[in-house]
Amino acid sequence: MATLVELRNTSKTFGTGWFSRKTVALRDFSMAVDEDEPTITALVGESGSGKTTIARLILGLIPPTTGEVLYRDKPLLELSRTERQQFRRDVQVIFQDPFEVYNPFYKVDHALHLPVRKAGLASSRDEAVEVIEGTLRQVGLNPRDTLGRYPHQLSGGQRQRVMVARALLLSPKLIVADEPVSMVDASLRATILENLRQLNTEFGISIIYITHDLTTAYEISEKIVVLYRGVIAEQGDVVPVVQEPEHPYTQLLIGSIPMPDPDQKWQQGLEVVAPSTDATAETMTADYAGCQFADRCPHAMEMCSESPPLYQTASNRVVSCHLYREEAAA
Amino acid sequence: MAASTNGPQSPALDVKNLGVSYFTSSGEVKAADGVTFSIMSGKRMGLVGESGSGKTTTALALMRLIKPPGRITSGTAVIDNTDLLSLNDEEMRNAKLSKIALVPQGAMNSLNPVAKVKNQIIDGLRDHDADYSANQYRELINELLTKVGLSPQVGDMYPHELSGGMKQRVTIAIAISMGPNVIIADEPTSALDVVVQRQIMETLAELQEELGAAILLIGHDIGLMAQFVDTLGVMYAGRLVETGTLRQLLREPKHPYTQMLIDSLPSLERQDRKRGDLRGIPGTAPSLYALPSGCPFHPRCPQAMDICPSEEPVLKVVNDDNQSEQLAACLLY
Repeated sequence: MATLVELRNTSKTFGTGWFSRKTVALRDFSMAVDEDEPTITALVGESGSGKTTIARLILGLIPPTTGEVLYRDKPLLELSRTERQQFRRDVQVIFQDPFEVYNPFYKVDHALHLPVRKAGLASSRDEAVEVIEGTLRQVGLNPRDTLGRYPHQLSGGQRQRVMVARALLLSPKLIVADEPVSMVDASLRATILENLRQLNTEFGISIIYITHDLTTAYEISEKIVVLYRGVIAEQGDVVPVVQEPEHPYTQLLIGSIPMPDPDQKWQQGLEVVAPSTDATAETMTADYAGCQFADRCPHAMEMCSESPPLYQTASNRVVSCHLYREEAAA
Repeated sequence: MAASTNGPQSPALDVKNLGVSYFTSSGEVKAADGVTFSIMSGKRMGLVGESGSGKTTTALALMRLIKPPGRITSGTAVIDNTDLLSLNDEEMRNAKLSKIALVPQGAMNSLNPVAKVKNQIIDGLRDHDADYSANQYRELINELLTKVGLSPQVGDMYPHELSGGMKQRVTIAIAISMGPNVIIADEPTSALDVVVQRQIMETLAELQEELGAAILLIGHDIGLMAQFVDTLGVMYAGRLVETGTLRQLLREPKHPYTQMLIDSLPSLERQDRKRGDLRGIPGTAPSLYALPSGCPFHPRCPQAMDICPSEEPVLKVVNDDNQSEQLAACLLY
């Protein structure tokens, strides 16, 4: 079992703390992506939960404040030049906004030719075109309708699929997709998610799917990590976590999803405590030691002033909530 | 949240044949074409569609906020025996807030960053020559803020001191400040997470029931619609292609576009298919500059017939159970 990328006890703190309080975006987070078994893992959480911070750590765009980011068991900062190049090919990203990732002065071809050239995937211009056209077809785009156009001439869905093709070009081992469908129309959302799953099943690429939308996470992923204010609330296989959520936050989140079904109205009697801005700011400071969810939790107890560890409640499942301390011990 | 039921059976808002066009250098673009629907008092209607389908254009036209090169080209929109579309500017000013009010999309951009919340709430009242004393204003502001679930202290704060959800509550307080007959909510919660979204929609529903107003909710999230509205309209390429009760549209959609839209929804559990069986709608939305001839949906429609490219369908009754009609604009019927 070889791990491709691993976050080991990483934390990320923003702000200097000189004039304003430091904000902890991620606390002691660990996660590993296995090379031999491609999976789709969803990172789910509201804004400020740390999901994008995790993406940027994995991509090596920001260094962790504490802890390590490892590529094939070697810290990112210690990679040699060739290893770094390999890392850049193995780990690809699809960003949220398909409008801002393109340079509007270049045709979309530019965004596809650049990686081909940098990674030396083709020896001639004709070969490059061939590789690119093949990849576009693999994500269901017609090269004739796509190449030779400027980004503004394509729809949001097409642009996002060109980005999927760009990621696929380098035959990566891992794709980090940061909210890839949140700015795409509902009718195209399903198509792009289907593309992502294809990458996983047909090309053996692992996907880290970052989203705030639990329903799409449920549809395409195998594993799920529910984040809340920079810590893991609950983690496990997606079906048990969504069907029988254990952490009070996951329960609240799932109870609040509007179902497109006239017979399934919002769960009544669900205790909803709104987050207050003050409380959020306070719990996200470095010296706060309690459970992040305690101020909104209907089950909050005295011991919640101490941060709960990850209790293992089933073979593949952990929950950071003191309610499960006995179950985990048994 | 139970859907509102009782109420007098007269339409609070009756829109007929609404047309909005943008006149650009490359020709006339019909952003809304022949849009016809009505909402009863105390009821909630949803309007869904992808971007560019004309749902926001319809909302802006009802508020008379279409700016050049856009123009309202046809139609009537009657509230309380007054046709909003034929009012002059001064009369429309008076109708806003008192007859029809808007809860805008993206509350973070719709409040004035340099004015206190309380001043923004009473701005509209002042504009309508409300003759209140300072004390009465203070009481009214406190009452409105309490109604939308905020503490009265919020009145003395500036928008940047509030969270996204609180800002959206302020816009709701402004919208209900003069007890309008119709509230238009344009994707009021699209930027908020699901927990806050639910709380805000529940507040909006309570207030609407208290006022007996009608709500037109614009959005693309059919899940949210299913929790909130009584009737639903589906827009495609500037036209209304299907309307009916929520149950009719979700359970027995007739227009192929509605059928595919509902089929493409991700869901947490569904008996009729297994997890991960995603179905998108093939093709892309047509450009309004070059609409396909006949039915604008025919190039993407799996059930298209020979006649579809040549004949433009109109809304027809396709299902008539008891008192609620379901209409669809499709040549299959």
